[in-house]
Parts: sequence; structure tokens; C-alpha cells
Amino acid sequence: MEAERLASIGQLAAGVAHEINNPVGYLQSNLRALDEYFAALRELIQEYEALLREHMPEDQQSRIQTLRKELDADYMLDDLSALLDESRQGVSIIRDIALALRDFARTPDGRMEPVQLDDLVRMALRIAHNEVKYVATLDTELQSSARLVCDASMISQVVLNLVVNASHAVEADGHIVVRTGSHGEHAWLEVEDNGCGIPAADLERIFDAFFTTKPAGKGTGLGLAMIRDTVNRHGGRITVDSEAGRGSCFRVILPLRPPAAENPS
Amino acid sequence: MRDLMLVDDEPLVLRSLERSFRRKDDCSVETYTNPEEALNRLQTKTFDVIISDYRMPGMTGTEFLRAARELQPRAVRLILSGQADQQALVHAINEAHIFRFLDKPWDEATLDAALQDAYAERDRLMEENLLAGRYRREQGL
Repeated sequence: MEAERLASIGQLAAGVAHEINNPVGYLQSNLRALDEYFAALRELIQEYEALLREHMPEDQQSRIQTLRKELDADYMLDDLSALLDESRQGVSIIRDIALALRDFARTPDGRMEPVQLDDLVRMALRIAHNEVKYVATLDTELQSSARLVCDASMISQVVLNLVVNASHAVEADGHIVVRTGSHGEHAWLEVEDNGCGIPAADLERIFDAFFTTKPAGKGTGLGLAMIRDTVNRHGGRITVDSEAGRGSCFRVILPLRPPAAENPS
Repeated sequence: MRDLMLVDDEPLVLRSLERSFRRKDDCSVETYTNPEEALNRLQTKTFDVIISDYRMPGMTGTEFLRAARELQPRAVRLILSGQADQQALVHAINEAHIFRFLDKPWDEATLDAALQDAYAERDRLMEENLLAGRYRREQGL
């Protein structure tokens, strides 16, 4: 039931993302055009003003000055660049959300392949390194020699998202540890941080799509929902151990062979 | 002077693209919201580059560009789409022999670079055609 619900949310999300991409495309492009038009018009206005100062009789000049004050024209000319810039930032946030929705809705292409979990984690950490290096030290204890059959790009995304989330949770003296191991027919992966932790009241909702505690524009609320969806699709599970003020530890357990890989349909 | 054809069922996308192309290049742009009308036009006027949306009512971008290729094989074909699933890509490449598949929302720099590449490809195709014609005449074929 849960998988079906997520699949239909996924279809909806993909549709919404597609519909959003068109207007975002022309908004972005139009705002850039507006910026260029405005720069050209401002140059023209400045030229006019220089001419007016030289050639216009005093009384008419003062009429223009009055109008200029009434309209608050100086402020508008000043503010226009900021206005455009802020609008562009808004559009870029919408674009990021649409892209995240599309990733969220991405159907696994069924390319399940055997990978060395530790190799995959190392690769993902190399990408995450840039996000993390300024806020936290990152340690690894990678001890899984298991070969895991999985959609490598989706599982990399899981690792990446967990580590980036951890880096968002920590403040000064942040410390993040990534551990792996295997046990029988399962491999596991842990991402632990000493960050702000998750209040008990939020713990139940952190995997819900669109649940976020980050300020508007900073998080789409889809990261953990996507992680859980991916883990579920691989027949695994994800648990979290967290306490406000102490930090969080996310643990992902994956079967070495996901159910779908055993019964190819 | 380049002749550019844009096809997208969303008129505001067309207006925006037309604007950004006009500002940058010396080109003449024709836009169509209806792929059927665009195909009619291709029977009377030659275009250097054709850029089409993928998902349109009545006809996909791939179907449109496949038909366009039959009419003007040396017009370079690009798809600009927000829907880049693998299936769509495979069809577009195999059936319409597209030159680039671009993502929506588009990034101005990427789009511009793709267009410059498309012009270069167009020139290459035209020159190839010219040389082939000359060769055929020399050989008396």
C-alpha cells in the first residue's frame, strides 16, 4: 500500500515538475532579457538627463525634478536591479524544487548491478566533500567487503543526501562519521553527526514528503522521503536514532540481493 | 543570416526563446505552436536549425522531427524538453536523428552553445553536400 501510494505521488510529482519547467524556463530567460533591456534604457535616460541639464530652461527643469520626486524615480531606478536579482533568486529556488521533484519521481531504470558498498560510499563522499569540508570533519569506518546488488546511482544519492543532511545539522566543531559493515545477507550503512539532533515530536514526520524544518528556500523536504523510497525499493529499511542537542545517527540496512533482483520479471 | 524554426505548444516559451535568440544572433526566427503548420512551412522555406518541444498535443517532438528530416534532411534538429525520460531520448535519437537533447528549464549559456554547435553542424552538412555534388559531376554520375 505504502509503495503504491508513493508511486502515485511520484507520478503526480513528475507531472507537476514537467508543468513547472515550462514557465520557469521562460521566466528565467525573460528576467535576463529584462535586465539587459533595463541596463540599456538606463544608459539612455542618463544621456537624456545630461542633455536636459545643458539645454533646458530652469523653470522646466524644476518641473521635471518635481515629477521625479513625486514618482520616487530615483528609488525605483536604484531598486530595479535588486528587484530583478531577487526575482531571479526566487525563480532559481522554484527550479531547484522542480528538479528535486523530478529526481524524487525518477523511476529506477531497473539497472541493478553488483557493487562494492565501500567503493560506492567512497565515491559519494568525494562528491559530498565540498559541502562538508567547511562545517565538519568527516571520518569513515568502512568495513563492508560485501558485494551488494543495487541501483548504484540511487544508493549513492542516499549516501550523499544523508551526509549533506548531517552537514546541515552540525554547527562549529561538527563531526560526521560514516560507517559500513555487513552481517549475513545484509549490508548496513550509518551516518552519524554531533549536530542539532531532531526533536522527538518531529521524528515521526521526517520521512514524510515535504516535511522540512529548514528555512524557506533551503530545503525541499524531499530528501529523506526519497531516501526512504529508494531504501524500500531495495527491500531494505532505514532507522534513525536522534536526540535534540546531541546529534543524529541514520542507519540503512540493505539486503545483499534485493527481492526484485531475485525474481526478474 | 540564419533561419531558425521553433516549435512548442506553449506560446510564452516561444516568445521567450525568440527574444533571447534575436538579441544574440543574426538570425530570423519563425515560431509555431502547431507542429502540423510547421511541417507545412518546411515544404516552402529552408531552415538551418529546428528546435522542438517533446510533449505536444497531436504529435511528439520526435514524430515532428522525423517528418521534418524527410522534408529537409540537412536542417539540424534539436529537442528542448522538460521531460527527458530514457524512452523519449532513445526514440528521439534513433528515429529523428536529433543533434542535441536539451533540458527545460533551459540555461541560456547551454542553449547558446548548443545553437552555435548546430550552426557548425549545418555548415558541415551543406559543405559535404556541395562536395558530394561536385564529385558526382566530375565522375559523370
